[in-house]
Amino acid sequence: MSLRPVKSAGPLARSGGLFTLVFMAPFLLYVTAFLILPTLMLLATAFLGKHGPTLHYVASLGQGQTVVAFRNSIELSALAALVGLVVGGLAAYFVLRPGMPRGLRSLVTTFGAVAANFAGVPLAFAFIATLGSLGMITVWFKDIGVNLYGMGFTLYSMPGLVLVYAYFQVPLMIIVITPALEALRREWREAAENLGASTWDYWRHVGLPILLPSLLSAYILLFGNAFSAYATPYALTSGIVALVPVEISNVLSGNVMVSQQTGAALALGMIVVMVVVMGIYALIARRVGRWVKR
Amino acid sequence: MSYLQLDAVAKHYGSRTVLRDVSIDLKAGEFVSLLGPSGCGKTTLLRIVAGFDQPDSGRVVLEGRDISGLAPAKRQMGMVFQAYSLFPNMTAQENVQFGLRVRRQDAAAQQKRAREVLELVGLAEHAQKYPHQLSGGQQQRVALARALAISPALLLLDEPLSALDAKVRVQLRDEIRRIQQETGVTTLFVTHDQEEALSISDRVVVMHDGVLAQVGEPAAIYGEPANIFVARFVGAVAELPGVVADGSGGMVTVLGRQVAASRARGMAAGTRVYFLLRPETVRLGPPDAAGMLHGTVIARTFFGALTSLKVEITGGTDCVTAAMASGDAANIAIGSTVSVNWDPDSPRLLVA
Repeated sequence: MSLRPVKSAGPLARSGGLFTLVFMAPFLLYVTAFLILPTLMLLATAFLGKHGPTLHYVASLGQGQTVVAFRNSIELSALAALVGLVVGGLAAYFVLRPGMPRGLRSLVTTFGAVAANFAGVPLAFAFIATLGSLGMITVWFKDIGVNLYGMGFTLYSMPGLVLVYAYFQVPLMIIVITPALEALRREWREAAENLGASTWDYWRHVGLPILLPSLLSAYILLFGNAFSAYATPYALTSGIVALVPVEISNVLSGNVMVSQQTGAALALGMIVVMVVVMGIYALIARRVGRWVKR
Repeated sequence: MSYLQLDAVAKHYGSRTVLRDVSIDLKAGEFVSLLGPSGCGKTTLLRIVAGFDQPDSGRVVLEGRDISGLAPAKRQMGMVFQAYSLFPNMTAQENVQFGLRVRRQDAAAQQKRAREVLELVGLAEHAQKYPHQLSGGQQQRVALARALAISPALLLLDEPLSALDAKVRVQLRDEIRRIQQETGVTTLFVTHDQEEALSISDRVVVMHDGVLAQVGEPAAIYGEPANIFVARFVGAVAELPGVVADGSGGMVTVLGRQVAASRARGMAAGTRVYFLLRPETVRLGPPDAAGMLHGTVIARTFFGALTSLKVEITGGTDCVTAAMASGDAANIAIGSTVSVNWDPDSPRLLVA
């Protein structure tokens, strides 16, 4: 039996691979320089003390204040992501419904793009000026006999933070879920209707299951967005509500204590949380998206 | 009594009239095609029957009951769309079961019925596949099974073959007809493809600009077009200007020659007509004085068993096409002069 030589890839395939490499190389370098290497440095810093390797800083993640910060950050992010998911998802759905004014969609998309990026100190100031204890709306309500702060509301609390986060979470959700909503084909809805399905049947069996992978991805994005927010909660609460990004700032540039190692351990903790969340997402996504062409 | 009656259905979109007082009756078990070019209103009419669009006036009556205002979900109709209508998150079997599931049928009955209809369309072994794992033709067969699973009062087919390649289209077309005959379901089929409509329908409704151009059996639509639109739209036809020369003798003057056309009998002399010749009725022969017309072969198109030869009639720019066996056509060279003949019963005359 004679063996045929294996054909090598043609010149076109080789040049295609070269082009891919040329265009991907800067990106890969960028990721290596500003994501992988810093992560490795964090890892090293978190486990290195003055006298060599130590578990001291990582072990300090179990201390009371740190645990509270992580719990607050996770709860706040989960809740803010949920609010963004529901409100933004419904807003995008209603904007995209047939018969809505033609200009509404572009108006909402443009506003969404701006609002999703309007965070940090300006956003905190805007809310303090409107819903702070002496904010415009708070005073208006007081004038008509409704004392928001007297009723227990405060902007400088977890509910207050959720409200502020919603300002950039909802528009972000609108932006990321719009393509998925647009991809819902009219034929699916009509076929369901034709087969006797009610609106509820359609959404339960067809619409939502098809959207579920996109909704999960959007939730993870919103969670990460909220989890890493720093300037907004810092400017708003000045540390009243313990959150991990604010704690990191405190230990890196605080007046009381400066400890790079503690900061690195906290950042490592954040990475672990995100990895766990994404792991859960991957498991669920594989299950709910088993019909997706891969 | 009609099984389905469309009674003076009209529809406008803004200032554009899409349907003008369209009335059609379907008998139970009948397969009727709505045939016409894009924009003629055939899909709008189907969507009105399905309940997705509401008529501005007129009625849709099914088995004697006016269902014009009834929601699509309440009409008990199965519909197959052009393409991509299967729910991508469900397997073929789950798609087929969907209509039964929302009717809260028990699971065993759903599965039994799904298996039955999947077997009917020849896809039982693909029951557990997702739509993206099926070919276009298989997807449309699942869509057909899904529509049939609910034992619909009416089967609506909205150009279900248009996204398929030619070979699959013919296979599925024949299969649709077989299944329709087996199940006896009354079917309304929308297509712009005349071959599809003529080959599988009991009756064809030709539509043009929102009105019915002609309703009839396929052979009648093809052989006896009621007007020049139907003649031009359905099948190939040579269209020559003619004037009735002798109404009693059945003679028409075409391009300066008096030729026989039995349908001219009873028409007044001097009546201007479209003199219509189908390619298969045209015979070409050697040029001789007895020939009805003469011309020059200017083009040849090979279709396998048949070849069509295009002949430019002498003394003008009008052309006639003759369809003949490819073996015979091979003996006629492009550029050769030929006589053009036909049986006097063949030409169809329409008053111009």
